[in-house]
Amino acid sequence: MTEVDAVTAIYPPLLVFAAAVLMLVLPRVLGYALGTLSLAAVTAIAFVAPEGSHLHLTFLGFESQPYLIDEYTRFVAIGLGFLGTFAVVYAYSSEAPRVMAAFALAYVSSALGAVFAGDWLVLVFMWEIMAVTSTLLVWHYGRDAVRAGYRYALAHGIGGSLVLFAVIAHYAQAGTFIYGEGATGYSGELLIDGGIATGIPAVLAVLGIGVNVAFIGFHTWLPDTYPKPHFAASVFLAAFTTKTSAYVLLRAFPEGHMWLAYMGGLMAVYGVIFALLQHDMRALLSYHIQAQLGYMVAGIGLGSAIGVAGAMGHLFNNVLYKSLLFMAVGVVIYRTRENDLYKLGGLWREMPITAIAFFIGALSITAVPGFSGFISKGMVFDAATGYFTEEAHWPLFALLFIGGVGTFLSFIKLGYYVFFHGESDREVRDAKTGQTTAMLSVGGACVVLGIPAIGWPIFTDLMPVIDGTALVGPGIEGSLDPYSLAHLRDAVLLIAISAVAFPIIRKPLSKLDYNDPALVFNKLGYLTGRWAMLAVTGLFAAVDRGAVSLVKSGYWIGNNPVLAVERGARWLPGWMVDIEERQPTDGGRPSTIHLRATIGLTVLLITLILTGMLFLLL
Amino acid sequence: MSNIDLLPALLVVVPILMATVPILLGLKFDRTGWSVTLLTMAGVFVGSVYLAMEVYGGSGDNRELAVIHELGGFSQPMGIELVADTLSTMIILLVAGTALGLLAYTRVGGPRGNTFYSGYLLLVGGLLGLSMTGDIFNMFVFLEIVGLGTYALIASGDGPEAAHAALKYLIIGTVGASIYLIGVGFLFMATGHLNMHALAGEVSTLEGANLQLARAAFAFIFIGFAIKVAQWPLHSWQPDAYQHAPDGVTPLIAALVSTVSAYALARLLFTVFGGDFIAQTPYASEVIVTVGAVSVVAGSTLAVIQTDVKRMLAYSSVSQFGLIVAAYGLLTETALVGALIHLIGHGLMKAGLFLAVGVIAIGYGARTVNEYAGLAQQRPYVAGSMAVLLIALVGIPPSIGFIGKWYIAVGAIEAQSWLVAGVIFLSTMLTLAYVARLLEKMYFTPGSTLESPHSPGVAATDGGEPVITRPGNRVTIGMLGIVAFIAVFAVALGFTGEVFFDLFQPFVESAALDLEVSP
Amino acid sequence: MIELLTTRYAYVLMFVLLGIGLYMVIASENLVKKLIGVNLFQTAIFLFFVAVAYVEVDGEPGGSPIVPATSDPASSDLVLASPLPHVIVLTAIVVGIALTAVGLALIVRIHAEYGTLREDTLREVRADE
Repeated sequence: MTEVDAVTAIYPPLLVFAAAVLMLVLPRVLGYALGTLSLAAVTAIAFVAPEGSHLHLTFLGFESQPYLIDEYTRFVAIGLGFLGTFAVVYAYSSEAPRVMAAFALAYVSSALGAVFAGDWLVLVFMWEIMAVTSTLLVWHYGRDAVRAGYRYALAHGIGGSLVLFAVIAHYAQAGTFIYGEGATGYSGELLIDGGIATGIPAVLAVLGIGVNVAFIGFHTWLPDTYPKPHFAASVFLAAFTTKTSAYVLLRAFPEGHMWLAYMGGLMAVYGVIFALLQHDMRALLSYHIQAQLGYMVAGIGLGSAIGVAGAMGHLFNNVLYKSLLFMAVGVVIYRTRENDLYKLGGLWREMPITAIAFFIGALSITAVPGFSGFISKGMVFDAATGYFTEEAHWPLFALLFIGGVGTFLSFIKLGYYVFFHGESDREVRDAKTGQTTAMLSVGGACVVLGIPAIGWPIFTDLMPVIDGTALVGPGIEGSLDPYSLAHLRDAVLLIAISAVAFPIIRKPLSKLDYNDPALVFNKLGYLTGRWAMLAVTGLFAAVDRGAVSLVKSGYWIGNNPVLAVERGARWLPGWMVDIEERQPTDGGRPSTIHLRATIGLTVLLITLILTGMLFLLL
Repeated sequence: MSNIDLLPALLVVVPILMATVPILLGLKFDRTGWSVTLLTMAGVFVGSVYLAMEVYGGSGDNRELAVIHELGGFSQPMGIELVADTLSTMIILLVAGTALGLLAYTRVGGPRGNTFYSGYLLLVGGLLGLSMTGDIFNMFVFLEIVGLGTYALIASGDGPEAAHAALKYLIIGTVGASIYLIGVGFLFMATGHLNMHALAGEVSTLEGANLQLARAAFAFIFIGFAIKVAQWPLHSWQPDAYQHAPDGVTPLIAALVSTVSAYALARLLFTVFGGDFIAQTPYASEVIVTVGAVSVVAGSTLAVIQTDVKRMLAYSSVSQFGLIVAAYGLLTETALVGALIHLIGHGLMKAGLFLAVGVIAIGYGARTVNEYAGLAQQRPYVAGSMAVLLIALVGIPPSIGFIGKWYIAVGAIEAQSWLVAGVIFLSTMLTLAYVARLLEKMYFTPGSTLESPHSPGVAATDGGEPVITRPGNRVTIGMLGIVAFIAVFAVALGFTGEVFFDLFQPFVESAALDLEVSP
Repeated sequence: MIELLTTRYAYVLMFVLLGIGLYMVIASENLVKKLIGVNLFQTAIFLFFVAVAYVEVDGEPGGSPIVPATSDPASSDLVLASPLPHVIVLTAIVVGIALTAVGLALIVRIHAEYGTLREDTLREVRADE
């Protein structure tokens, strides 16, 4: 067996899944150690495995390649594997139960399966498993999480089915499931093997994937679900589903689409506005997932090499710093047992390490120069301004810029109210060793990747489309300079606007604080931010209730026709009809369902249908 | 006639003859029914496995592979044949296996008495005959034997509702079988044949008045079977029958009777009439698809609003069989394979589910959806098995339920029938709705202590400690074992889609399906 | 129309009988009458099969398949009604009797439990449970 064979002999998701199973039977320490090791191994394998498809199968009679390595899958898998490794460490020291960790590892394994997939069939398969395992992860916490998890399952059930149908329809057109084969409607060379067939498949795919990448209107599950489960589970949830789906969106639409780009821009603005209004820390971060996804969707939608590279880079960075933020906030929740940021304050003295970790994450997400987010967000900005392509989309840029300002504001708000804002009225300990290790490792990566001379070359080597600082790809030229004057100017502008705006906003905030701002924001958020969620879940409940009550009242009328007529007659004015009060023969007992098709009725129906069919056929 | 050719006849005759034994022995001994049935069923199962090895052993054309028994030595077209080909053998295996496995439940939990086992054996014999017969009139006879066995078994339930449910089924079922018989008459008028193989050659060449007769026959036969397969709105016998039948009987009826009827419908549609005939008859394929699609939607909607679990599963059967019938109407090879896989998979899953319902009724006393609250904590094994089966029923991979639905969906896409594709999507959603309702109750609603579900046979009025008054109300290892086995099996079969495809290939190819049929 | 009645009266009669049987099943609330309706329905089908078997060559009706019409059985102009439908009807009658017996047994049990044979009354009784 050669070296190459040895590396590719193991299907990485299977490794993680095995760890998930072993987690259930092994002692806690051993189980977690195995989970960490398995994810570290996945990262290593993704790093060294040679390009190409490594596992050929025929599945249900269709050709399939479940284990594909190209520069995209490698890149995403390294990001997810690296984060997953430390997320397991974090979960271990956060006293997460073993069963939860097993669900989390199974979920990670399915997400990795979706990333490594080399054809649409395997992708859909993993996509559905990912929905199931993540639901289980949410459900495992019990309490509030069960209801939210139910809505989560519904959203992902619908989204997953849409993707399933998109893939089937793609197959009907293309005749194969393999990425990049058979799809018509794409001209020229693509940056990535992929592209779903145009027409119905594309529409279904964009809707189905749209659920997972939290398009506006489809996003309600995200802020609904992610704040509910165990805080260590939130770390996993925040990283895997949405980011994997953003990568899949690129696979499906390698050429992008302006509609997608503008949807991304709107998501960035929408996400930060509602993030600003949140008072639950994890809900705030959840809305930021939507906003950050907006940048990725915008980059993918633009479809240019720099846009795609920016989206992928942002995806990678986002996996790291968003999870870092969830970890830091998780520690705060773990120590204080408090979800509401207005009820906290001055914690930086109590838990300095957590504060440092949080601010590394916050500086990265807000794209401050020197941190990883700065580079990738800058690339998306460049794509929007047409720096390389001579094709500027200023409205899109404006949206993304506003999103950037909003990100700043909300993180100043979060950081201010949690770590500063007066004295802490409670004495709490800082993060535990494992939590610290995880946070500082991930945070270190965020810093290193943002520093030009050190992290930048590693990052760009891994990054698709970019080689060194040069853009490579069909018909693309140009080189990157993240710390160019224009970029720094943008960053300074962003910071300046935010720095001016926050005091202005803070003033009313502090006054509102006096009047219990939580209530106001709660109500505001309730009225505006969650209308969509309420509409969707309410609609489902209403349809359910409506259908059941319609059928029940139908039964009731059928059973008690006389009473029904009388009840109807009561609505008429008294002089018109004379109503005699009558009791139901069964003494007013709630009506039971017992009207069933009788023998005679059935035979009558048989006769009628038979006659109809004879009439049609003859 | 070699020995293996005798096997089909033995498989039918032995259970029917053995059906008399429990009654005879019952004159002297009390509890011999179960043992006799176990022996018989074990023999039948071994025989059917042997038969399957023979049929699937070689390679070739569907009829070349088949093991054919000519009854009484009269050869076709006059004589009656019993044919075990690549399709019917699979059904035989399902019937023999399920009927054998069910005995694990009925030994302690099911209706007792020798007459019950006589009915059981009669039913199994009828089902095996219905699976193998190669003669359309003989099919009517077996249909009625199956009917008689079913009516008797349903009526063996305790309450008076069981008798009424059985009578309802008897009248509607007999009307259905009679309508089928009229169709047989028309087909006989048109061709002069009753043997399926002979008919297959004859029907495609008909012209003029005879063609009209054949089309009328098609209508009568389809409607006759639509009743037996419980297509909405002709299904009304089925929920009553499933609900009021004893718990030990429902799995048998739900898993096998409708399944074998649906198989017989496939046999008639594709062997006797053939895909070409249906494609050329105006509206024929549309009618089949419409009946199926309407059943899917109506059945699953009705299932969602049910409170009694058995009734809910009964309506679920209406919708699943709707899917199968709709897949028949698509007239593509993939959809047909999907329908056949779903036929077997659904039979298996429903057998497991109704068994689980029986076990839960015995051990936990729960019958309605609300009473299932907290089941997972009290009875983790049966709840776990049931959850697996329910999820498989939705069609989540890997499970046999997924493979069937998958092939049907691919077939619908191939036929460009977006109606069916949409209906599959809708039915999956609705199935998810009622499955999720049950799962939510089982796993996430704590069982309330105030309103604890009543155990059957508990004397609740005397105010003292509840006393189990009826003997034999205990859950045995065998019961749990068979439910768990079916759950594991349903998942394991989820990896065998390819195998099924290959096994059914000879039959599907013989069905003369035209992939280029215009939508 | 008149011609149809005179030449194919057996079929017309059969469908009338079929209709009467179905009507009884549909319209009568009495379970025994419903069962009789089913019987009538089946009988109509048996008659239909017997009519199918009837053959006529040059206006001469075929003989019964049991007793040859001509004295010489080997004669080539032997015209017989098809025996197959007769066999079918015999079998179907047996099946029908079995079904009627089971049905009546069930009705006896229903009567013993509820004290009524009418479906509408039965429904009311069960609704009150």
